[in-house]
Amino acid sequence: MEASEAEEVWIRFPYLTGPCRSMMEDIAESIEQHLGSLLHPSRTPPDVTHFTSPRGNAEGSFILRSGANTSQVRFVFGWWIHCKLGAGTLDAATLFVMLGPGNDAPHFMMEVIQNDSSNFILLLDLLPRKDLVFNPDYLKTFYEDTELENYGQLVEKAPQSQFYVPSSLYVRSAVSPTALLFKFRDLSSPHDLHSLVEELIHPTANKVFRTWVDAFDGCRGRPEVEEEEKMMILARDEQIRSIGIEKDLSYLPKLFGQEIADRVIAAIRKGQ
Amino acid sequence: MQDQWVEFPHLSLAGRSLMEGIVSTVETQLGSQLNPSYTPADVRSFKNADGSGEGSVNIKSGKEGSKVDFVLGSWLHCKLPFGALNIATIIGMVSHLTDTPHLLFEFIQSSPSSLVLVLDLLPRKDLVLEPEYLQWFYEDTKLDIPRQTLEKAPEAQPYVSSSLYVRSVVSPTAILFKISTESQGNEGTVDSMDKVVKDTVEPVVKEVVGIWLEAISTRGRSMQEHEQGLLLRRDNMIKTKGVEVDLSSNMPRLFGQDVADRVVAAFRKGI
Repeated sequence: MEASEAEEVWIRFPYLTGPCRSMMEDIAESIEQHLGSLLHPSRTPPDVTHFTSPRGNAEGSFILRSGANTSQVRFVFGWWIHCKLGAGTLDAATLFVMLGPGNDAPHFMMEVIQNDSSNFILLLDLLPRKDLVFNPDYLKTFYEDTELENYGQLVEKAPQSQFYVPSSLYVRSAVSPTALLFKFRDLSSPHDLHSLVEELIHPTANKVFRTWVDAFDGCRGRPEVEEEEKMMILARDEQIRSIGIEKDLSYLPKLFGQEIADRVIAAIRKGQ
Repeated sequence: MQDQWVEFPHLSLAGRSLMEGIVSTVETQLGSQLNPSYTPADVRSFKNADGSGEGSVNIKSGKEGSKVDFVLGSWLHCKLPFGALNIATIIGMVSHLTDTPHLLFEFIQSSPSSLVLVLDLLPRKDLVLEPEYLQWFYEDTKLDIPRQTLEKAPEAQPYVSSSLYVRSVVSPTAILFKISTESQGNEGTVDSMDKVVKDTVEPVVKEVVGIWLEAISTRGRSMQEHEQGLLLRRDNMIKTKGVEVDLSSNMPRLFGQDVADRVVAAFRKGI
């Protein structure tokens, strides 16, 4: 990799193994490619871009880049944590594109949770900006008229896959009806999952991201949403940010102490 | 003690006992808020032209000013080449004067060893925008526990509706499962399904319906006028896009357009 390319890598996932790591880093790179020009470079303080727990059994990183025009792209962030638990380890990694209230394209979310190389959990979704029950046309535009359902069904067919039900009811409510929520585990050989990720999951993640790009690009061409609608979208996004995102980080104080947790939350709130 | 308002004559013993038991419980608890049924006779009982299908839709509307919009009990029975399709439904639609979730319960049996269960308290509000509603009706009531119980049953597999809209309407604690007793072999599949229905499904259904009935009487909040309008509009979306589409997709094919129209009309009027 050339030096100039290396400089543009805004986040890495050093503790994810093999194909999961390539997949997340690939999507991070895609985010840079498609949105880089709309984002500030990261201004996240160094003690948030990397932190370790007082006991030394956990490490983490949180990197946020705010949008140049927050009405269109509010921010993107990536984070990962790595912790040693007894005999094993837990790794979690997330990429999130949070759009601004000036458009109604879905947010993009991808999360991988890995216990060891023989299993992992995937959450991959385009999060709706509107109440789908009230807005069936939104459902049609961003979900029914796309291939998202087909991508999910293909992954469902893989024998290593099982549906994953998040323990948070709020997360279950926030995701779309075509959200890919799966647990994967090795069935036969240790390289089982390796091939599955390379051949199916990673390409699927790319396709889902591509679908998101189309949705976002489609909205960029149009005028900004009306003021009333904007307020509605903003109110909803605020809930997603505080409950969906911040609450998701609620284990931070336990693992890393209140100080680090506060710093990370502050970074999200400040949008830096 | 009044006569059973809705019966389910074509279900197996356990299925029938379950559905009729729930109807009875709902009626007993909500009885004082309900009018007698005014459902026309040709909606309370209908058959298709060649006699291969019959059905019944029964509705009791809520009294003026009550918390109930209507309760509905219905069944469809269609003879198929290798058996029968039975769809039994109970709906409890809450009025716009209060914000308790609606009750949706469907018991769909396509063969003696295969059952689809849809059981949910349908939210009246956008849960993403109103997390307090989620907390109040779904977390504080521990509604996810019955779902988890069923999830653990070896006979249960998740059921995913082919309609994205239906997936959006249901709550995060929705019980959506296929129950299958196929691995038990062909001998006595009716009995093995009945056993699962009685031992595993029935307690969960009773628990969820119990939570719903309690929510109607103790958790639902009175809605101000401006809130009522919003609820009404959202409920109408659920009724037309959710339930009507469900009714009008199978019914014309199975029973003819005439019957389908009659049933949808009764549903719309809430009688």
